[in-house]
Amino acid sequence: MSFRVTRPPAELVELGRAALDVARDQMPVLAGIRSEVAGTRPLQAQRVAGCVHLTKETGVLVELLVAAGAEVAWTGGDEVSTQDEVAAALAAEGVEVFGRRGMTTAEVEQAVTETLGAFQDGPTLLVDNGTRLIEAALSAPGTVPRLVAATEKTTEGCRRVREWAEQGRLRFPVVNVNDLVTKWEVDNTYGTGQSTVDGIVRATGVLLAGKRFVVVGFGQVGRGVALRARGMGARVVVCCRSARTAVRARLAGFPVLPPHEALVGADIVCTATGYPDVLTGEHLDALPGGAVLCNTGHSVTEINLADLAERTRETKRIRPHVQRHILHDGRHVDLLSGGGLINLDAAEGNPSEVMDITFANQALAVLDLAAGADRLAPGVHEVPAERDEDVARRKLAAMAVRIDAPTPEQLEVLTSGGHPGSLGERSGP
Amino acid sequence: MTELINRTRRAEPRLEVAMAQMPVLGAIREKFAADAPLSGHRLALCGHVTVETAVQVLTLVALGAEVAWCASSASTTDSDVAELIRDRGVGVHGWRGMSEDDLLRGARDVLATWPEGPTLVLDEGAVLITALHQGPEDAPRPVLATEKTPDGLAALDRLAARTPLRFPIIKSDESFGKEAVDNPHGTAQSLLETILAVSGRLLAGKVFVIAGYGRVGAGLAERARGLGARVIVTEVRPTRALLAALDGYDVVPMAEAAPLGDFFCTVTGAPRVLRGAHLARMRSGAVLANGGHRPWEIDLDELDALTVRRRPSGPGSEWHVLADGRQLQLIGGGSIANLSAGRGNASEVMDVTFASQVLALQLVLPRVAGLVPGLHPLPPECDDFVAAAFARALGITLPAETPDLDAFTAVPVGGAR
Repeated sequence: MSFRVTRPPAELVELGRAALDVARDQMPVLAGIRSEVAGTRPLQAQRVAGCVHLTKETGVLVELLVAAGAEVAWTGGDEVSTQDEVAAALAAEGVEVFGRRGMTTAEVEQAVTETLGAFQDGPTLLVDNGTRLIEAALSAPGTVPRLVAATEKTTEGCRRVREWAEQGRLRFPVVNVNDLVTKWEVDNTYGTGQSTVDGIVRATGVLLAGKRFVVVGFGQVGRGVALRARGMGARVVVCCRSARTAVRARLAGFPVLPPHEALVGADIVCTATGYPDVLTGEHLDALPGGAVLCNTGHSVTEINLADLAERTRETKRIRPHVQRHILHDGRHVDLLSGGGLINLDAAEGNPSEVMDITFANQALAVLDLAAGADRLAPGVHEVPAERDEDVARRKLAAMAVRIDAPTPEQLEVLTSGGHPGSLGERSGP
Repeated sequence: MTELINRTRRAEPRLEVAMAQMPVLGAIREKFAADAPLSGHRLALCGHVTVETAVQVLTLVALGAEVAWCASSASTTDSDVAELIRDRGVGVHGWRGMSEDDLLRGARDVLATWPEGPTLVLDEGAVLITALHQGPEDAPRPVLATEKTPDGLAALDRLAARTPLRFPIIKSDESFGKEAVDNPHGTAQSLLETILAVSGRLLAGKVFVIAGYGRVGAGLAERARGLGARVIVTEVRPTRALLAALDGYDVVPMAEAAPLGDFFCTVTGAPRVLRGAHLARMRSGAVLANGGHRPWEIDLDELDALTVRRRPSGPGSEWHVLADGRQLQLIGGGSIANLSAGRGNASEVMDVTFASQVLALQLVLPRVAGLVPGLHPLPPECDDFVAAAFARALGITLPAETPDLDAFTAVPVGGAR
């Protein structure tokens, strides 16, 4: 059986087109890039395989790649996030789309394999989100004889790619489109921070004010969730694995507790770490009855679902996205979105305006690779800081925010040697 | 003699308070002093002569080093502290009101403390390191140095462009402590504290203009908003401007912010951010402060050109009366406000920053043979130690599986690598 989307029903295509119209209106940076490349079609000879959550915003990126001349094959790479109407609309435009909403993990893998195999001579470029395509390409090099390069946009994915590079396994260049201010901070903190809280509220209808809200992990995503939940009146507690993040969270004013203490009295628990088995049996045992569990980290493994199943007597679907687990001891906990990405399942993923920035980085990286990937050696490559500034500049223009231009003497100071505050400075408080 | 004893007595209680508020340096002494990892080393140190640096110096002494200390700034030198530390057997070259020439002489004197020169250097503003590159090529060289300020690192970049660096230098300025504690919390707090204390104004309801949304600027904006100000941010870097806008601040060019602001604070690192054209449009009564390292962010020449008369306004500031009668209040003469007109960063903050510098020497020393001359990043274990010790001091319980302070044994972790 294939997960290829073929002959989608006309009503679904119409729905998808309407969704794409809405997203396109809120993605002015991508629209600007698209109008720059539509005439010259610089991706004419390229076959692009993509594995990024198939949402309406991703659809706008795919449209841009098609407008730039590429042949495109795409899959969402996730169990719950594929928007079938968007998949239908893209398939109707001739894009090879694989997968649907509600797949098992094994089915997700199969759709990835199909995407990689969609072109006769294999893809020339990969656009990845969590290294599913990159990993498949590394383990079956025969399927990608013409592969030139890839982009990767998650923190965990970049970490894995660096490991493969150190082990000498990486045979093509990978551009890291994650470690940019416009991705790392904007997308994660503001985008995922908001859409995660949005997803929890939409799924449960809960009032956040006064609730004890436990955020596990205080990276850029965890920080965004914690700040936004606090802004809505929740009593936020943070759990950290490292002393560094613990210090950051504490100085931002959050109580930092080990999980077994934090979970006592928890109303809502949200994992945002990027690591598996963050909440295991012993943590589940510490939860009070009625607690809501959800995950906004990249993978479905942060909450150990086997441990939860072991403790569960029966489950009930009490609302869309909410599975109530009645435990053997009589308590119940509500698991949102099956432990998958709450923001993409119960809400609509990050707002289009945020994905506009993230995907602008990806689109520009793909255009750069098409123009000169043969000059990059196998390994992980960073996007130049000036490209980051360029995307931010485009977004500010779309927001009608005007800023000063540096004077020549200021420019000299700000760009010399990386300090005291270069144009590429990365971190915030 | 009695005078000296009095001075020492005056500083003693302050030293005790600072010691108690500097637990990360305390953890270094507790973990490592017994092994005296710096014994046999001659350490030249350049730094503000304050009670916090005194705790750092005493930590280095406790680790076994022989230390000589020169002042890095004339205006910050605390003569009582200098006397107290001399009393403990450390050569201190600095007194309040010393001239720029005296400062340079102090640096030379520190380097001349030992006929063979120092083996270790803990520098500020690259004063000692630069001097060590001016002598003959075959002069004795230290085995390891560290530089703790952005200005010093910029100076070393310029030095390296002219001449090969003669020994390894660790960039202790670029540390976790500086990035996560000192800049966004320590400096942001002490700047705002100084501006409020010196101006004596109510912040709620006022317009607070912040030039520069780096780590310090972002921390300052958050605090000013917390006190009820309407914050406006100006920036030249699009990424930082975008973050400011997404944090909910108004972001505009300075020409538009100038007529709106009640307070202005520059934290950019760049020259001439507030220029004549901006000053000429400001409201009467506006308060001006600079939080950047160098006194060049507010264009003082152009301010003077607009000023017809100056009048004092209490300690730490001055009113500039302009030709049309408007008055602007300049804090700390346009120098870094929290140091020139305030109490500087809290001891707890200096603790984190100073600890990184001590660790940059102590943890790297066992493997210094593998380091080529030139600039090197601070090794991650220095940051790990600082974070673990600071987390413990804050009373944070980490999960059992997380390596905490106990994971650092008396043998420096760098030794085996």
